[in-house]
Amino acid sequence: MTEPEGMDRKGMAGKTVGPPDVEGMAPGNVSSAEEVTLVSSRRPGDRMTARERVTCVLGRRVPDRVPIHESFWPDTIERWKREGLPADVDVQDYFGTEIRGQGFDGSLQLPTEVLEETEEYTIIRDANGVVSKRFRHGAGWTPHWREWAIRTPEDWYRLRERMAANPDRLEKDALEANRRLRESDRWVCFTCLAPYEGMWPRVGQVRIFEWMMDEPRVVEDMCRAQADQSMAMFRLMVERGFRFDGVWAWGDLGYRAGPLFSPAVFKELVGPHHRRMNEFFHEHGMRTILHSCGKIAPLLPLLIEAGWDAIQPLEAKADQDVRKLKAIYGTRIVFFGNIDVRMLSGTREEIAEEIRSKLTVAKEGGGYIYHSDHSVPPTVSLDNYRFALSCVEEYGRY
Amino acid sequence: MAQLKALADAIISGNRVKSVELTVAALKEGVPAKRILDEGLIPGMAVVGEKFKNCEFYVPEVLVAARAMSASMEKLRPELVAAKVEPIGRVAIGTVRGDLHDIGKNLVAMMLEGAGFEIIDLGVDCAPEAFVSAVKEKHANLIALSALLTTTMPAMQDTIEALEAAGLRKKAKVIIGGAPVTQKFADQIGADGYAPDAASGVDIAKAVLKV
Repeated sequence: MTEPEGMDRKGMAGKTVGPPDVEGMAPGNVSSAEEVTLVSSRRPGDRMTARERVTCVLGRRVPDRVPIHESFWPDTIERWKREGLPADVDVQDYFGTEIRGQGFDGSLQLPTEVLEETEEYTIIRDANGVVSKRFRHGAGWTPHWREWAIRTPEDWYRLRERMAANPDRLEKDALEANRRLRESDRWVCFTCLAPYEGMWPRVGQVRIFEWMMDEPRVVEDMCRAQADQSMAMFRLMVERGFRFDGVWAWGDLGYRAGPLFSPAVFKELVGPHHRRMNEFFHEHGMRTILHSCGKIAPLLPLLIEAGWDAIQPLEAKADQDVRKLKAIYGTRIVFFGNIDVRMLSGTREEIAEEIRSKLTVAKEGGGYIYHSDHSVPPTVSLDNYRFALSCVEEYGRY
Repeated sequence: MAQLKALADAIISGNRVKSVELTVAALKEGVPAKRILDEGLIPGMAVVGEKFKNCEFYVPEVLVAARAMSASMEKLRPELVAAKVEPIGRVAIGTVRGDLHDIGKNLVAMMLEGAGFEIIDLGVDCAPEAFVSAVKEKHANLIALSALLTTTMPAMQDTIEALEAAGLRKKAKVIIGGAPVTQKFADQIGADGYAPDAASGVDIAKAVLKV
């Protein structure tokens, strides 16, 4: 598990961040007003705005073309700058991606400190009271967690109240950023953490797994608190004048070989709170996207039952294949992603075939948004990525 | 023996308290440690591995089972050492240089221990030299390398090359695993085996060592 350039996953470390496993990724989220530009995502031949297009697809209707969004690893952007990407551009604007998001600080709001800092790494205590070592280069996006503030159920119940919604979780000019986003043509979403993803970094992955077996009621309560926080912050932001087109929740549930825990555990401890969130957001007119890494196909029926409108990013390296999933679930959920980044690192023929073969199936009847199967890595050249988008243009039109 | 069957069942259900109780009781009754290992712990973990492969068990069930097994092993280990019981293999395991993610590595280590291997856990962010030393000084005959990131995968090749440079490549087999790792990559870098998950890791370890 891991934030590329593209959506902020504000929440885990006391600042606007991506999913806990991908800090540093760029998936299109915005923290402050100065980050918001009004560059249009319009492409020649478009008959819809990005907002209309994404809304249309999430309603499982047929748009003018497949919407495009993407997440990029920071090293990728560095490589592309060496290959001719203008240094001063926002990579999301440059490629005309169509979704922007705004989140909030979902942490326990504990004091943060830097415990050690070298040329190679830093060791920090974050706003969840978690001590982690982070390399500055290469593998720096995936921290090594060392120590947790929550080690016992009693720790959780003592700190639980720190999950409450409050305006301090927002950047000072977040409302202005939202206003500017709304002036753009992008689909603007509220980003938050879904139950489970919000919890394990606070207690450690091994401990949460053990608690699923030893202390299931504590895990269920953590899921409840996570869902409550996401809904309460949405309500608080809307009351303050924020406006959104939909919701994108980060909620990793899988790894390469399968779900992280059993469908039975999902049904009993996690799923009911996914459902509560979806019911709440649907009541507020929001379509919902769930991000989950890994092989989540075995959980898809339960995720559909829980009310998610779309699932992202469908990791190809975890054997997820939108062509197969579309045939089974295509009338019940929107698919978002699945373009194998290993193919994007290959030849032009491989890239064209990957995109042609998936888009022609996945876009049928609407219900598909283009995205890689996680985040574009630095093995993909700028030339390859431009070619990939030209293939999306060719095969993604209706 | 019903008592050892009960021990295997306690491990399968992840009941650490019961598995320790049954292990201690069996030792007190004079059951040889090797027999407790062979007829209690190893069969228990073998069932866990099978259930994991068949999607009846997921990571949480495996973790608590392995926890029960490790707790029993703590009681057995001194007896096994005293009886000079040899493990079926000595595995030096670690995440490769630059890689800090150790959940998968720990799971594999526990599964291997539950299959009768001795574990030399080198931890995370292990330089190739650490694996070389484990072969040279601790007589590891199997190296198990884990990488979560595409950016750290090349360190697997560096480790194999370091073993070759030290003239130790024939003394230890090398198996690899981790989210971005594939059989194709294993073949490319000259690893002896690749496992897509922890349970298969046991099968691959046994296969490459022919045990």
